[in-house]
Amino acid sequence: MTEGEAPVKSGKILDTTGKFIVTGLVILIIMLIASPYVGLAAFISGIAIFFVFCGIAIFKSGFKDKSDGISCLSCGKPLKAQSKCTVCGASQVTRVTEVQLIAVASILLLVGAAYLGAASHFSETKISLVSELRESDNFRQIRIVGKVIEAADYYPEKYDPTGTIRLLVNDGTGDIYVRIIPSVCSELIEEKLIPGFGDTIDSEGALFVGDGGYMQIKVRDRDLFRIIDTEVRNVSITDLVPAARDAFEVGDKIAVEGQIQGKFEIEGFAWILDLGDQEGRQLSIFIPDAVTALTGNLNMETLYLSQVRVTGGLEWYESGHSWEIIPASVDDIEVLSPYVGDTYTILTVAQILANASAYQNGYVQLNNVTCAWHYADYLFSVTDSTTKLEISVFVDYDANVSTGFKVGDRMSVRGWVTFYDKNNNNIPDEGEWEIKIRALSSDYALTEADMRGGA
Amino acid sequence: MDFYLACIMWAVLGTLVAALISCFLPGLHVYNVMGFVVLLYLPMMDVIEPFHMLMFLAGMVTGFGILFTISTIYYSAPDDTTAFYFMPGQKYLMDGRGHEAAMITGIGALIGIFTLVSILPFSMGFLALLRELVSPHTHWIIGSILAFLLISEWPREYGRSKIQLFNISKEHRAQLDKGEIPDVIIKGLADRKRKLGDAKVTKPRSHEWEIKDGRRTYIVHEISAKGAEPGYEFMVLCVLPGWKRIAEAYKSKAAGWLTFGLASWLGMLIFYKTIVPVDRAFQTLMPVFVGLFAVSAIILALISKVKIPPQHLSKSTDIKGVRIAQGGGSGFLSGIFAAFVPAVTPGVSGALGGNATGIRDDKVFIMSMGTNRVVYYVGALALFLLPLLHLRRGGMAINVNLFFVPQTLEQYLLITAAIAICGFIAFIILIYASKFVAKLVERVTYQTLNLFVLVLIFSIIFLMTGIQGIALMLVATAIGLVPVMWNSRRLNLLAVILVPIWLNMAGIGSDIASLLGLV
Amino acid sequence: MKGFTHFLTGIAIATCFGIAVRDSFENMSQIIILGGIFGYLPDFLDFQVSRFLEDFDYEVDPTLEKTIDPQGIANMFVEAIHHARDTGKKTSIKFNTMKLGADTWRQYGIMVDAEKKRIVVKIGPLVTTGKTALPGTEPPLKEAVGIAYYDADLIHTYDAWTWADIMSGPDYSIIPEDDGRLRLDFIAWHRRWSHSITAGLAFAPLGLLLYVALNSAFAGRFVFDAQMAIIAFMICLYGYWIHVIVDQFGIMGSNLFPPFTKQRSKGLSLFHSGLSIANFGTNWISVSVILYNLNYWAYEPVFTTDPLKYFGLTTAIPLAVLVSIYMAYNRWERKGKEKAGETDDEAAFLEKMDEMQEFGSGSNV
Repeated sequence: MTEGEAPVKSGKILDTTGKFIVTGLVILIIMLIASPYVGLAAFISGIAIFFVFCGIAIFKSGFKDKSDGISCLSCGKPLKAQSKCTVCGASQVTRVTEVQLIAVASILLLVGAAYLGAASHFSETKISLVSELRESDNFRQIRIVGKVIEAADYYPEKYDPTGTIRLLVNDGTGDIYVRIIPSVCSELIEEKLIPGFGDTIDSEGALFVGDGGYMQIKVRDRDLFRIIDTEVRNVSITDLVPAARDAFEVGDKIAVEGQIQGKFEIEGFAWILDLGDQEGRQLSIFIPDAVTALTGNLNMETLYLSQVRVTGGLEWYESGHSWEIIPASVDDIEVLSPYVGDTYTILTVAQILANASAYQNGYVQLNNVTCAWHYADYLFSVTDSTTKLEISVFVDYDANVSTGFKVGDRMSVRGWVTFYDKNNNNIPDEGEWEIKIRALSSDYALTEADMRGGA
Repeated sequence: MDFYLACIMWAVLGTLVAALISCFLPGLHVYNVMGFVVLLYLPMMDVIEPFHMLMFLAGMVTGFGILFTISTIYYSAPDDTTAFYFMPGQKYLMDGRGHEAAMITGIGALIGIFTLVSILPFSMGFLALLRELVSPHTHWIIGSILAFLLISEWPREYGRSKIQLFNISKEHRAQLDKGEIPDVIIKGLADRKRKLGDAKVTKPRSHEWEIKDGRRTYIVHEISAKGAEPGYEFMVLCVLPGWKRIAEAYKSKAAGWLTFGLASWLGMLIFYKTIVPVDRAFQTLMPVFVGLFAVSAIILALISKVKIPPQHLSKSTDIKGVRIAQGGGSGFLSGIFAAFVPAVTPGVSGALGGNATGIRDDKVFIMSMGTNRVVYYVGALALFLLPLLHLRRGGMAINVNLFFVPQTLEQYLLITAAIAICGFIAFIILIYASKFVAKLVERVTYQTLNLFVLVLIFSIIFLMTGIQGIALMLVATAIGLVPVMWNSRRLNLLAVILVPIWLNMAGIGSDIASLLGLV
Repeated sequence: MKGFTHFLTGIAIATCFGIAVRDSFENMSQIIILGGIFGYLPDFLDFQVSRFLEDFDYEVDPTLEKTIDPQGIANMFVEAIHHARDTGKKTSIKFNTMKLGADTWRQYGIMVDAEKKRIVVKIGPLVTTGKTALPGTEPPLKEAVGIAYYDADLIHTYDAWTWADIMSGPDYSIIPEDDGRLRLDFIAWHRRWSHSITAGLAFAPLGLLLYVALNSAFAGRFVFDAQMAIIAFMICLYGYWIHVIVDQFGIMGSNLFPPFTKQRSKGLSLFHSGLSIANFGTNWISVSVILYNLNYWAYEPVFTTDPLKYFGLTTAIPLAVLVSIYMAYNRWERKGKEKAGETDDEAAFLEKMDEMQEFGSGSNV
């Protein structure tokens, strides 16, 4: 550059057009970032607002960038010829303006939105077969449809009311773990849609293949997890209790009606309830802690002795050679009629023992009996003047019984007649008859003093 | 739909990060920023959906593809793809048209985005077919590129046919005109151990006499009045034999071959020996690329003592439709080629593309590199997600494969949507960021600015790869300076990845490595 | 044609050899590359070898003189013209470049103004190797221009500036014609013997040696497979010949059978070799040939092997469309402007100017 030239025209970073476009862009970016929280409206209005600003900018400036004939449009140096700058060689006539470029570029916004729409048409992932998954599929998005074949595991979060659910799923070709991350889990808890044993689920997530063929998919989106409605078969206790291993399919969804006749908690593991009928047939309902942790506590006060309908998956309990039911939720134990109290036949000890099997599973009341043997307050025997024989009394935890009584004390007993099978071999002579005092029922075993006290 | 919107949100965030880095942290290579982000992400996989992370990276790559031109043009810190339009870009900067150069690249990038979102989704079948056909032949395709690089560089020196021996005074003119050889010439030649035999003097040209002795030809040349020093007006020259001329001419080509050789060695070194700490091994290429391209360019800028003239922030760009078509077309083809063939980066493919279409115009070249670069980086991502193809290629796939495997058409369409939206945002940001930076660099001395960028690069490399990384970068810088100093082609530097990959594909990589003592 | 175009046609020819293609994917052979190298070789010989071996009758060398004198240069050109006129012999003149630093050169331009019978020399600014002009380095106008008038009947060639700036500069040959007029020939050493059928025969054995040597070097012992050796020879020969043949489509032509023929025969003049659409089209054809061959020789072809269908769809139709667009555009652009009346000589000059400026030869890529 030689001296004495006119000063170079430099131009502004933000002229009026620029101000409008940058403002439009900032609003657009904010709207796009906010859209997952606000919704589609933010996305669309962001684009619309940008176009409005763009329109105003164009209206203000026009499409053409016309030469003033004094300085070059490209380098800003003084212009000697009209059509071409002699310094930088730039044409002053054929030029592409900023506004034209922005107008062309904004087509991309619409194209982007169109592709988003197109994506939603192809949102279904193909279902994979577990047996066909390989280590090379690691991290691939996999969709599996299969049956939950083990009671769910649940690992609660320390501070939040959620956690991770882990399910073992079989799709007929192999087993795979499905892991549901806490954020999805909390939604499932809220919706009371907890997958349980025997449920058929449709889940999708990234595959992880570990050592020794361990495979897991991780569900990270609520929309990618679904419990498929399966038909629930009504089965009676009569059908189930004597049934052999091959009579039913493991994982079958069934519903059974009966009375909750027993309850047993293994701390830190599960509740086991006995579902029985009037003939004394009993079936276990296995409620793992995972189920109570996910769906709420069991309300034993209403459940115990009530007539219920339990829905769940059938599992073969190998060491007990029997079927058991695993419900997915505490809500799957539905109370049909609450326990109101029983009608007792007033008998003497001699009358019972003379024809015990006739009273089996019946409710009896013995007045004016004497404690004949006392092992503990929950296990003792009584007799009365009608016989020298005794009958055992077995008391459930928390049942209505007196405490601190001793042999010779006079008392009244009412309860449920049952045969206690010592060797568990169902041979009547080897066992003995007993009266069971059930908790939360109208049963009792009270001393005279306690009776007077207003039982 | 919320999932989709969240995808777009992550992509937009990625673009914003890329914009910040391009404007304020020049010299970082896209893939290294990406590696760093992935490193931070891996422990948080439960918190952030992998696909959202991929969207973030897609936004970032798109942003970088478009905005990195700022680093190249204003801070002279190019990466391996922009290094080749660095020179024409500088020309624009020196004309006060830095912003216009940025806009030309931007137009190119815009075309790249348009072609990616409009052509790629409809060419799945074709590309899958092509890959099946070409992949067994990749080794000789890369080999051909190498062969072309080696033979096609023209000697840059003159290959002068004469050398000057000494000067004599114009007093001897009469003697020469008579056909006699002045004693001073005989003595002068004897001093240089040249014995003149039975020689004849002729005057074939008005300003020159020729002395031929059968073996050699000497020329006495009268220096033009303008340049002559009193007493030394005649110059005695010796005519060089052909092989000496070739030797002189080939100095630059030899420097090119040397560059090629050194870069290949460096490439083999980093492929077979991990020099930076093992836990950051995926960052090995970073100090190498930064050294080869950015640091060497900055050193050149530091020693060249140029001053940035005031920049004109033009509101329009001097480019014609036909040039846009040429640049965009050539850029798209070369970009797709680079995205498709392993080891081929936009630098190489851009040069080949320029050759293939026979286009020489600076503007078209800058623009085609803009397209090429975007198509390469963003296209690599798109091809990776393209159903039927899932092409795993380069730094992109290495990083993404750590947490994600592409599968569905839906994912591909989402990525395409993100590319379109982020491409648009990045382009608008480019317009104003470029203006902003143009004004910024104008206020600072170029040297101070370059020094600042250099310090920045050193600190980043040190933080990310430790002292070994710095050592590697210095070695790469030294190699990167060879073409700058001897005017050979910078393309030769890309042997750093081309050669090791070619050797490995041809099945002789480990043999050569053991020959070099690397394994 | 551009170097790359020739390289690619060489590769395309090499893929016509099924044994070579199969050797490539079975044994990782690199034999196909030979086609590319030999396709490029004729230009390599001209621009990278023989131009440096050429002796010139007149040589402008500003670096030696440490100064640049436009008048002196113009005078020398005129002297060379007169020398040719007076002696009736071909006279050549070379304009060496002036290198001033590692990356700085002085640019100067020469123009033959046949209408006014004068030679104009203009000194330009300092430029970098990337041909970037350094602002403010132009000499003042009165020192920058030299004009010398000649007295000869010089055939009007092309009144454009020829620039000497970086690398080896341009040169002219002044050739007296039979009718006493003088013809200016730009870079006369180009396509003199290298672009010939005979040179192909002479160089192909070198390719064979290169193949055997490299093969043995990588194997660690002497390897010679007669069949592959013959294939290598054929690839080199055909690669070289296809270069010569492709160049015949241009304006310049070449000397086809030296030493039996001495003159450059004229080309078919379909286009000039620097034309970007011609290069692009040739490359397109090469790529489709390569893909066709890779498919044809694959054990399990992935698409049709019917050449008519294949080349019709992938080559003929797209190129026809492209050429029509190109021609329509040209017509549209010329509308209202007078037709650029290009003589053969002008076209040939353009073609040579183009070949002199290989892509990337200037800019530092």
